[in-house]
Amino acid sequence: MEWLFIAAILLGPAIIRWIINSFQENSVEQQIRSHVREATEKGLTVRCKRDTIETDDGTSYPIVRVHVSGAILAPRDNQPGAFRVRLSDITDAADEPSPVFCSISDCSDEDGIYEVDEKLEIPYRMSAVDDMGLTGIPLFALVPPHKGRRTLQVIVAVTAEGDLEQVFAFGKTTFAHDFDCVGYLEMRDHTMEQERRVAMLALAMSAADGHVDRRETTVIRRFFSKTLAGRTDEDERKNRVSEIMRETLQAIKSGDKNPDSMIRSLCSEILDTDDPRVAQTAYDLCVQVVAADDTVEEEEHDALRLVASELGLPEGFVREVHDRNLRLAMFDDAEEESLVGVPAGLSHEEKLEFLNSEYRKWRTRVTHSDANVAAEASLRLERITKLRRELTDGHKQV
Amino acid sequence: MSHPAIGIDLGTTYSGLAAINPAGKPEIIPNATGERITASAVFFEQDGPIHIGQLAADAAGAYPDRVVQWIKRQMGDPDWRFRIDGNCYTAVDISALILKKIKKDAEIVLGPLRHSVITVPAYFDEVRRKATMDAAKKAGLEVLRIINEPTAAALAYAFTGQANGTVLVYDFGGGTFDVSVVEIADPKTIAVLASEGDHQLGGHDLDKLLASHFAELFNAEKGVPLLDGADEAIRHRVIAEAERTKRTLSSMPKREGIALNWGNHWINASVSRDKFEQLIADYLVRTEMLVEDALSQSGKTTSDITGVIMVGGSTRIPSVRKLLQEKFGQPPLKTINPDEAVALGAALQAGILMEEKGLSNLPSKASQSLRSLSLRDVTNHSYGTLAVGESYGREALRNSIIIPKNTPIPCSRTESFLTRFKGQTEIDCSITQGEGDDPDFVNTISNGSLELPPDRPAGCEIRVTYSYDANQRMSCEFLDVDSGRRKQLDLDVAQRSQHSKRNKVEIDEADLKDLVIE
Repeated sequence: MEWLFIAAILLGPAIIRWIINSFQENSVEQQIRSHVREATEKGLTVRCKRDTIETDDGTSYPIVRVHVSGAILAPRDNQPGAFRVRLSDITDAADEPSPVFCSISDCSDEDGIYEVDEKLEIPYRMSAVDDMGLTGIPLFALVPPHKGRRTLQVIVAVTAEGDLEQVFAFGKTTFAHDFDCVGYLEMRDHTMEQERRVAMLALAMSAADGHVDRRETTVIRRFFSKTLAGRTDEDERKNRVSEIMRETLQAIKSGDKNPDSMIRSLCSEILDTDDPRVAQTAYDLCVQVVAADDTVEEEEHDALRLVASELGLPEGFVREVHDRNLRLAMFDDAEEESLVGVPAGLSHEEKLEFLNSEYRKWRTRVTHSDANVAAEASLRLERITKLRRELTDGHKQV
Repeated sequence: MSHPAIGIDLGTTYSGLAAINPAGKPEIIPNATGERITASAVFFEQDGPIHIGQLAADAAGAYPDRVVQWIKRQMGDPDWRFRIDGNCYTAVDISALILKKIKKDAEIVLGPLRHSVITVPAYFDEVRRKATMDAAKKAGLEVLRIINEPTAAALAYAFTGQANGTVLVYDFGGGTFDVSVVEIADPKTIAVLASEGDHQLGGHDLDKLLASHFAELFNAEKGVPLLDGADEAIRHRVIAEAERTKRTLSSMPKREGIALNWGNHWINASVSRDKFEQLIADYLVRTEMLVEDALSQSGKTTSDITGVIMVGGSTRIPSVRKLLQEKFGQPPLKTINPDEAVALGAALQAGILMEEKGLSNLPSKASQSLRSLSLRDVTNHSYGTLAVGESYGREALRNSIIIPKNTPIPCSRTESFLTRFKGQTEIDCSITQGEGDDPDFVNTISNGSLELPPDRPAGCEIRVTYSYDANQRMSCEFLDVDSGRRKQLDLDVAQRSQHSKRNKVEIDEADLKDLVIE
């Protein structure tokens, strides 16, 4: 019995130490296990932070930077995986999210729905990320279901590289944003409204000289025929535009609508949409309408100036559209300066400079392969040089 | 056996040929009838041979339907045809007839000829230049180079030591107007800084203007429109009378006794130089604007110009000389006959090129003087491609210039573009010529397409390189950087992409040979 007692005395501390160590190790392991369980149950913490990016020309664009923190549990070390960032609109119903489209192809799938995947190799079976920046969501390029204040849900998942079903980590968050753009569920109605405005404006232009020519309405019909071709609701929309045109013509004929005030109010509506494409398309059509009967009356010329001014169109764009569609022969009795397009209010030197630049422009067109363009260019050069000579001689006399 | 180097000025109203003599100097070679310049007119005599030269020009009044004149204005027009006696001629065919006649006449003096330099207006585009080369080849000439007319004239003046520094070449010919600003560092080193031109502006237009004035005088006196509905014979006679008047007024203040008739109606008209100058004032303003343009593009002002060289018959008009004198504060140079300077310069260029190629048979001293000449020209138009870019706040197809006008040649420029769409599998490769970014107003002179690999993101780089060599030939490469796929387009085969509706057989050189009068 003595040797047992001696053994206990000698080994006791070691045994006790072993017992304590074992307990402690189990506790650490338990802690680790506990932490892992906690971490995986908690998932990824996704954080969104508003920011802007600037292009070379100094224009700023709003983005939302997505950061993630948390644990990732992979089946093995060096596991090929990917961070997958998805967006959905939960404004109307959190349990019925709607897709969010993105106009940047690198941030969207084949259908245009926002989607960003970032590949990574998960180094360990259990890895952790701490406020890792993932991507920047381009707010300026997103199209939600509706315009206005929307709540977007950002979902981040870490999955196996080739298998979206194998989820190693998951997290989500939301942010709100005011969208100025028309939502995709509103797009159809919005576009149809634009068609109405453009059709009515073009008709108002055709009535500017007090007479609506069949050739002018044909130009409008052909424009919409081409624009609406191929759409799934092509017939419906063409019928709608035709109906609008009929009603508008009737109203103009009966005096219910005045072309001048129509032009102003429609331009104001178009301007409110803040879409330069619509404004430019509308003006282009107006010029084509005016050119349809090969004559530009003074009232039509004034109406074009009014539209250009009301829509705030750049002078260079207006001149381009005029060059393409209006020929000198269409103008009758216009003042030489107005004919050549000299802007009002220029000084003598500025007029000469304008004429020089117009001369340079039209001179290059005398060699155009289209004989009509070449002929128009020759005629323009004659008028420009005549006007330049008058200005120079007149200046000398003064 | 080597042939002499020759230069040909293929003009709208007159053409000339010069050759390098054994002393290494250029000299004009008269035609078979002793004229130093040959009228660029072709007369298809009924049941007879084809006549080229002054005889053809004189026949225009009597046989307007059988004479072709001012063919240079039709060069590059693929639709233009002259149909006569069951044959059909293009502009290239007619020009080839003129060149063949000039060549044949010169061979009487020089022996067989082969290598030549042909001049064109500085503002001629690629299609017109190619048409000129085609005409030369049809006439049995091997074209060493096509050079610009003002450049050739500058070369003639520089070589003879009659001009140096920064000179302005004012080339006002029968059918075209060109202006070039040229740096002549020394008689052997010439560099063009800028060129401008208008190939629808020339002495012939002044003739037509004067002819219209005659018609007004006739109508005022007889109440009969002289030119409206007139047959071609009358029109030709009136224009010919206008041309004679124009020439007379260059040396006399008035021309009287201008006989004009229509049917039984006759008048004797008169025109003063003042009246003529008033009539042509707008045209002179056009030339002045082009001069200002060329100066601006070369970065020079009127005070930088050390000499003004006058080239072309229309520079004989006193008001032209007066305009240049007032503008530049110095009398313009015309020590070399304005009708001959271009051909002389072209011969010099031919001599230089033949020396470079080892084709010359000149004595060593003459050879040496040519070998040391250096001539640098510039592009006459801007060349670009069509790409989608931002235009007034929206995306639109725009012309993107790659080689701007007046770039010294040879040159090579590269611009990068990006694919637009995810999964894009093709890009259009268009080569444009013209200024400005509106695609409606530039000419597409060549196009093709480049296939791209599938399933790629948007924004892949496409590198476009345009190279323009000293022979004014351009090659264009569209390279997809990632895959290495490329599309090469060479402008030796430049042609107008529209209007290629040739439905008649062109006349071959063998046929030409049988028809030309001996």
